[in-house]
Amino acid sequence: MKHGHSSAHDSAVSHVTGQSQYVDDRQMLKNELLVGYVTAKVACGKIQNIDFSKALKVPGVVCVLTASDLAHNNWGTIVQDQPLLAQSQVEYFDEPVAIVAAESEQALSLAKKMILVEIQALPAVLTIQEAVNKKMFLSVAEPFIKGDFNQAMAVAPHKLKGELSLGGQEHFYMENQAAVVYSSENGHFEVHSSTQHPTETQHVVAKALGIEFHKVTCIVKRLGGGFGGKESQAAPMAAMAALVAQKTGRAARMVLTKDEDMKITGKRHPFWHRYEIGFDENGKIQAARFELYADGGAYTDLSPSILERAMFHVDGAYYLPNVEIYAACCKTNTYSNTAFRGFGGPQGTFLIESLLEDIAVFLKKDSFDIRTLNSYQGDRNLTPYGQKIEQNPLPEIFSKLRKSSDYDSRRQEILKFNSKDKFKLRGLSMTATKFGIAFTARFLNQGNALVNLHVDGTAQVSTGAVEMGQGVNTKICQLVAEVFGIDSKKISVMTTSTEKNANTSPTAASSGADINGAAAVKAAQAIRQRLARLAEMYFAGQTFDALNEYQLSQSAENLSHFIFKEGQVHCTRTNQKIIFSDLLKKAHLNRISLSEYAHFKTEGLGFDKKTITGTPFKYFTFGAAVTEVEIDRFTGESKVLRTDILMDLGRSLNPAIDRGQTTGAFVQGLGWVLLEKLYHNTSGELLSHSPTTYKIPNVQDTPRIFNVDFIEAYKAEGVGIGAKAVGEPPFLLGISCWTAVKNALAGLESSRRPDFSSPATGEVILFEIERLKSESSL
Amino acid sequence: MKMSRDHIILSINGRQHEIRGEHAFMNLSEYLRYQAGLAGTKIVCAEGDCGACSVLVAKTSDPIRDQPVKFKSINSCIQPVFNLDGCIVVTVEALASAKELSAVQQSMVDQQGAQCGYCTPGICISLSYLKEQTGGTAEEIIPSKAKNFLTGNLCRCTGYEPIIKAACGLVDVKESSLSKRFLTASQVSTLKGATQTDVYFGFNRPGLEPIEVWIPSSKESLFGMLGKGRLISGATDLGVQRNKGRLGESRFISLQKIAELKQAVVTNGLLRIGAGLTWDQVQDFLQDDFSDFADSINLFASPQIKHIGTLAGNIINASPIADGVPFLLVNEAELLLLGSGGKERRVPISDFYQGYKKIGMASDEILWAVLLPKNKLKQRVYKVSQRKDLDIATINLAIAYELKEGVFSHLKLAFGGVAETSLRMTSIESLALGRKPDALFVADCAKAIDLALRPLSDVRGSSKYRMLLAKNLIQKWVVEIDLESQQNVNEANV
Ligand SMILES: Cc1cc2nc3c(=O)[nH]c(=O)nc-3n(C[C@H](O)[C@H](O)[C@H](O)COP(=O)(O)OP(=O)(O)OC[C@H]3O[C@@H](n4cnc5c(N)ncnc54)[C@H](O)[C@@H]3O)c2cc1C
Ligand code: FES
Ligand code: FES
Repeated sequence: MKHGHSSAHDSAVSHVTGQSQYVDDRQMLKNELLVGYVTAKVACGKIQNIDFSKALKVPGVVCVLTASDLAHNNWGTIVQDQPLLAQSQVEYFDEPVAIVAAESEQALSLAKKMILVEIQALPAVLTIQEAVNKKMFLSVAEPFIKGDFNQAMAVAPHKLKGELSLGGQEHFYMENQAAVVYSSENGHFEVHSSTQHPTETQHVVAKALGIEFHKVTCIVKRLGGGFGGKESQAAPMAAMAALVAQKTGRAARMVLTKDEDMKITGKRHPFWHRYEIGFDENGKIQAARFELYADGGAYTDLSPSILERAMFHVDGAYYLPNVEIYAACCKTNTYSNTAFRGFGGPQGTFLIESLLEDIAVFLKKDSFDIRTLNSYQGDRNLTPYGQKIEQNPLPEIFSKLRKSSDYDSRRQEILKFNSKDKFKLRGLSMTATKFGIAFTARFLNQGNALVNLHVDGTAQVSTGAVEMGQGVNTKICQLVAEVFGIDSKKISVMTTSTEKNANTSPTAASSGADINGAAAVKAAQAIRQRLARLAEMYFAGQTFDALNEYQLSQSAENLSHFIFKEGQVHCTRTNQKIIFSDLLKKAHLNRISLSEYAHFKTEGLGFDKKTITGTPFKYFTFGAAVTEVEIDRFTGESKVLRTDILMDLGRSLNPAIDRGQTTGAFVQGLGWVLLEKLYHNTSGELLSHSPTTYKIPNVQDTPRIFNVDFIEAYKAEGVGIGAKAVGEPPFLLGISCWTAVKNALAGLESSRRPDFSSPATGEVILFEIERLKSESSL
Repeated sequence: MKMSRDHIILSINGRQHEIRGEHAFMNLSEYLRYQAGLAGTKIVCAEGDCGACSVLVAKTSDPIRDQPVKFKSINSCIQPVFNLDGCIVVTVEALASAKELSAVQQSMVDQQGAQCGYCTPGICISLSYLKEQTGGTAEEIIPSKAKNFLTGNLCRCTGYEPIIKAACGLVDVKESSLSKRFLTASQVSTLKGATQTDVYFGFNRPGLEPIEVWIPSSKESLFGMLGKGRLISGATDLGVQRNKGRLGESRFISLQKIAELKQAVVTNGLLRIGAGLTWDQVQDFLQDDFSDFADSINLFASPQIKHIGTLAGNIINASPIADGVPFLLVNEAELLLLGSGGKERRVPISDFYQGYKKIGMASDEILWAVLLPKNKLKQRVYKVSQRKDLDIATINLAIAYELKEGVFSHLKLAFGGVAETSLRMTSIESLALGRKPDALFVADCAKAIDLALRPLSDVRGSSKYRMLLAKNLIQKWVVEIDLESQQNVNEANV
C-alpha cells in the first residue's frame, strides 16, 4: 500500500470490537497486587512523620513503602530533581508520599485512609507573577535577539504594550496512567506501561530499584492516548509498581483513576507574556519585544525545552524584523508541568496571533489583511533564531483559504449581523501555524527499527515508536509494504519493547513516523537489496544444490531494475518474475538473512543557543484556519460556527489519518482556548480533577461546519518519506477560536480594545463584555 | 411475603449470569471487566461523564405505555449490578456477529473513527443505540441529529469529525437489529420472570459492616422495607457518590422493579409523573403540556444518564443546581410521598427544601409521584453552564408568566445555583404584577437580585459571575418578550 493511500488504522478492527489490549486489560494474576499511593495535603511543607502502622493491619494490605525504600528516588529527563515519593520536602498539593500495595481494591482504599502524614505547612508560591517577583526560576533561556529593537521601536508610529495570560491544559488522555510489573527470575522485571517513552521508563525503573538497565524490559502495546502527558510522566507509576514487585516478588499493578491522574500529573504550561510592539500605519510590525514566563510547576521535567520551543514559535507565521525574545520558566508549588501536543509552540504563537488581532482593532483594519502583510514571504524570511524559511507555502495557503472560506463576504455578513442582533455577537478570524519539525535536543532525532521477513512472504516490524492513536504503526506498515511491494495486510507492526529497540527517543515532537519510519525503510531496503541480488543470480540461471549455495556479491551496483510489486519481484531488463515468498524461501535455504536492524538519524541539525546560529528544525509544517464564533451577549457563552483549515502536508502518506490528526488537534486546541479551565483553591489544590468539572470539548462543541483540506506544495526535506509531520502543527490552529472571540468583542465598538485571558470561558467573555460596555459609555 | 431470591439474574451478550454476594455490589463495568472477562468496556472517569463504559441495557420490567422491551445505552461505571436484576445487557464484544463486523463497527473502520481506541467501545455502543432507535433514513441521520446521540461520549483524539461521519454512514444499511438478536421472546420472558421475585442478600466485608440490598418486586414488599435502607433509583447520583467514597450507607433498596412507579397519567388537568420515570420518559411525557421544559431536557446530562436517571432522584438529591427543581417550583408542583405501610402525604414542592440538601421527607418515606397541574402560562427555562452539553449548570432559571394587555398578570420565577437550595424569587414575583416588562422592570429585578442572592464561588463560576448571569438572564428574557411582541405586531399587520 502506497503513499497517499488512506488504509485503515492497523488496530481499527480490534478497537471497534473491544479486543484491543491496554495495560489494565491484562488479566490479573492470582498473586497480583494493586498499588496506590497517599499524597500530601499541602502545596508546600516539611514532612514531619508518616505513620502507616494502622494501615498495615488492614486485612489484605501487603506493604506500605516510602522514599527510603527506593534505591534512587530522584528522576527527571533533563535535571534529576523530582522525587518519586516526597522525601522530606513537599512541593505541590497531592504530591505522592507513600505507596500501598494490597490484594483488593477495598483493602487498598481502606489502608490509604489510615495512613497519617504530618506535614508542617510552609508558604507556597502559586502564581507565575509571584514566582517572577521572587525570581524563582527553574530555568532562564538565552534570549533571541535580531535587528535593533530599541531603534526600530523609537521610530515606530504606533505602539502597544501589555500582557497576556494563558491557562494550562490537562491532557485528558482517556486511558489513565497505568503500569503492570512482573518480577521474573534472576532479578529481572517486565514492565508493561502506558508510556510514550519506553526507554526512559526502563531507565527510571532500573534506577529506582538500584539495578542495571539490562534487567528491565519495558513493553508497550499501545496507549489510550498520550498527547505528551506520558512522555516523561508515565515513568513514576511504572517505578512505583516496580518497587512493589521488587519488595514482594509479586506482580504489581498501578492504574490511576481520572481524579488521581489529574491531581498528580503535570499539564500544559500556563504562560504569562509581556509584550511591546511597534508597527506602521498599514499594520506592518517593525519592532517587538517579548518576555515569556512559563509555569513549570514544582520540578524541572521537560520545561527548559518547552520554554525554548515557545521562543521558537513566538514569531508564528510572521516576519519580525527587529525583535528581542526573553524567557524564563518559573518554579511554583503545583504539579510539574510537562509536554503537551505542541510543546510550548502553541503558547508562543498565541502571543503573536493575539497581537495581530490587536493591531487590526487598533488600526480599524481587517485582521486577515494585517496577517497577510506580516507573514513570511519572499526575502522577509529570516526567523528570530537565524534559520531561513526556504520553502514557504504561506502566501499560497493564505490566498487559497481566503477564497475557499468565503472570508470576505462572510466578513460583510458579520458586520451586518452584529449591528442588528440583540442576542448574539459574531467574530471571524484567521490564524496560522508554522511548526518546526525536529526535537530541539539534537540527540533525540534518531530512531531504530528491526524488520523480520518470514518465508511465507509476511513481515514483522518493530521500532521504538509507540502507537497511541496517531497511526504511526499504520504509516510504518505502509512504508515497509511499499519497499517490498506487498500488501500492508502482510505486515504486522509489533509491540514496542526495549529488548528489540533500545536507546529510543520518546514518541513525541510529531516525529514518530519520520524517524522510526525512516529507520524501518532503511532496514527493509537493506533486505530488498539482498533479495534483488539473489533474484539476479536466480534469473541468470544459477542454481543451488547440496554442494553449492548462492553467494551474494557485495557490490554496490544499482539494482533498480528489480521491481518489487504486487507480491512479485520483476526484472525489467530480462522481464523475468518470481513470487516474493518463493524468493524468500530460496534466500533462507541459502542462508541469506531475511532480517535487518537499521538506525536512522536526521541529518543537518544543530543549533547553538549562545550564538543563535544553526538549524534547529529540519523543516516546517504550515497551515492556517479561519474560524467563526458566536457569543451570547447575555451569558458570554460561545459557539464555534464554522472552521476552514488548509494545510501543506507534503506528500501525505495516509490522508485519512492526517485528516484525523488535524481535526483531533484542532478540537483539542479549541478546548484549550475556550473551555478547559483548571481551577485551584487558594491552598493550591486542584478542584477540577475529573470530567464533571473539567470540560473538554464535547461532540456538540465542534465547529458546526468543519472543512479540512490539504495541499501538496512542498515535500518534507531530508527525512526520506516526503510526508510532513502532522501530530502537533494543527493544534495551534485552535487559537483561531480565541482570536475570533476577540474579533467578535471588537464588534462592541468600545473605546478600548478587547484584552482578556485564555481560556475565554463564558465567565471571562461576559466580564470582558461588561468592561468594554462600561468603558464605551464613559 | 413472597419467596425471595439471593442473587441477581442478568443476561450478558446472550449468556445468563447468576451474580451473588460481593460481585453483585460491583459496578457493572467492573463486573464486566474483572469477572466476566469482557474488558472491551472501559473505565475512565467512573462518574458517568465520559461514556467509555457505555453498554446497552434492556429492562424487561418497563411497562410504560406498553412499550416493547428496548435497548437503551447507560453508563456501566455508576450502575451497581444489583440495580439491574432481570436486565439484558449487550457490550461492545457482542455487536459483531460471528462472521462480520456490525454496520456501526464497519462504518467506524471505514471513516477512521477510532484513533487510540479507548473511547471507541463506548462510541460503538452509542451509535448502535442510534441505529436501534432510528429507522436509519437519511432524514434521521444527519450530523446535527447524530450528534445528539453522542453527547455522552468524550473522545480526546479525533475531534469527533470522523465519528459523526461514521454515524452518517449508517443511512439505509440493512442489518438484523440487536433487538432481534438479543431480545428474543424467550429471552425476554425468562428475564421478565426474574423480575417478579423479591431479591434480598448481602455479604460480609472485612473490617466493615456487612452490605445488603433489597430488591422488592411489588409495592407491598417495598412498603414493608421503607426506612431500612437507602432508596436507589437510577443511581446516577448515588453511583457517583459511591465511587467517590462519599456514600456511607451499606443497605440499599432498589426501586427498579416496582411497576407502579412507572405511572404517567393525566387526570383532571393534573399530570402525575411516577417516581420511576426516567428523564427520557419525562421528556416524552411533558412534550405536549410543557414543551419549553421538555425541550430544555435536551441539555440535561447525556442520553446514557437520561435513560436511567429519574426526575424523582433529581428532586430528592436536592442539589441547588438540579435542573428539574426550578421548573417544578414555578409551576407549583406537589410531591406525593408515601410512608411505610403506604400512608400518603402531599407536599407543595415550595415547602420541601429546608436548607442545603435538607428536605422535608422522613427517612421511612418514599417519593411516589410528582403532581404537576397543567396551566396556560408561558414558560421559559434557561441554563448556563461551562460547556453547553453534558454539564451541570452554573446557574439555571425557570419562569412561568402571563401578560395581559402588556402587563404581568402572573409571574413565578426560580433560580438554581445561587443559594443553598433552588430559590423562588418572591420579591421579583410581587414587584412584577401589573407592570410592563421594560427596562425599568429589569433594573428593579437587578436590585431585588442584589438584595436576595449571595451565591458561592466555585469551580463552575465565581459569585460575581453568577450575580451577573442572574441579572442578564432576566434582561435576556425581557428582550425576548419584546421581540416576540414585535413579531406579533408584524404578523398582525400582514
Ligand atoms: C454525568 C452526569 C450528568 C448529570 N447531568 C445533570 C444535569 O445536567 N442536570 C441535573 O440536574 N442533574 C444532572 N445529573 C444528576 C442526576 O442525573 C440527577 O440528579 C438524576 O435525576 C438522579 O436520579 P437517579 O434516579 O439516578 O437517582 P439516584 O442516584 O438513584 O438517587 C438520588 C437520590 O434520590 C433518592 N431517591 C431516589 N429515588 C427516590 C424515591 N423514589 N423516593 C425517595 N428518594 C429517592 C436516593 O436515595 C438518593 O438520595 C447528572 C449526573 C451525572 C452522573
Ligand atoms: S467511565 Fe466515564 S462515564 Fe463511565
Ligand atoms: S480515539 Fe482516542 S479517545 Fe477517542
